[in-house]
Amino acid sequence: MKVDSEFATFEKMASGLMAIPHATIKAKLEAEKEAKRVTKKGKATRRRGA
Amino acid sequence: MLSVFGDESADETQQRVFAVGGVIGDEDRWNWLEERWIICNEGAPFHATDCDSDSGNYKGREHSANKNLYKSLTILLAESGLGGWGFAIDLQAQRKVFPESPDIAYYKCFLEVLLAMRNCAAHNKETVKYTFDLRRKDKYNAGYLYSRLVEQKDWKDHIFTKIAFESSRENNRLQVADLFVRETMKALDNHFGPVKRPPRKSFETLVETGRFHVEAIGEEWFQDLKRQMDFDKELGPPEEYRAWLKENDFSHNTLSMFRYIEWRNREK
Repeated sequence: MKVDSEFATFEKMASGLMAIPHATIKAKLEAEKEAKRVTKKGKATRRRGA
Repeated sequence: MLSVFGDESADETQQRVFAVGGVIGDEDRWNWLEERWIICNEGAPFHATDCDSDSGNYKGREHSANKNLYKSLTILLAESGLGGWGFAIDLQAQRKVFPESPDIAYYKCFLEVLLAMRNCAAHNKETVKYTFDLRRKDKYNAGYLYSRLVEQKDWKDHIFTKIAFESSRENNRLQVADLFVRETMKALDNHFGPVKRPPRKSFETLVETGRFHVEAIGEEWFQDLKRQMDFDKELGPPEEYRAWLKENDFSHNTLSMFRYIEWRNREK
């Protein structure tokens, strides 16, 4: 039924897209990027030292 | 008290980018700008897309005259002391990650702009009053979302009890928001759209003041949201929603779905 499928997708989006503030996801993505950058830098330093 | 005037903008196909933006400031700054805005526009209502593309009321005028007007108004806004915050969504990325997503881009952008402006008001120990461009289709739903925010503890001390929706033809300050949100939308469209272009001078003029900020969400952001949603709480069965509609004698529409989710969250 159309109502069911529309509501199901709406509810899913409302619980995620609407309820999770942009800043929360942005901060997480930036932290992940920073962690990757630090790991990469650490590996490069170790390689140079070896 | 601070006043925010907000508007929305989309690319010409309405398929690539959607944005909402708000311009914020105190009454003195708004009056300073408004006085000069009216003189620059010779009393006529300004419309950013038409002015920028030689269409509507700007059709038949010299292209350079339209460009100069747009440039002058951008410089005025940059010099006004007002600030702005825009939020844009890459609609293609949203469709790619959530192919069946309902059309709620406006509400997401709207809420993010409200939140940024509320934070600005709280930071300055002020209260903020919002006026948005009258968008008939979404006015009631946006008004409903606002009415729910007003009741929340973190919000009620910093936002005005009512939100206003007015026509930009009769409100110069909404025309200011129209210019800023067009810049927000174009900034993202030039980056993600089919033709890659460098940032517009008008956008750079505003951003260089340090008072105008734009946030945009693309595929990486939606992918992360999807990962979070996979672990989200269990959702309610649609049959319950249908029964609730019947019980309350409501029709199935966006407002009813917002109401139902809010009602269910309250009940639980």
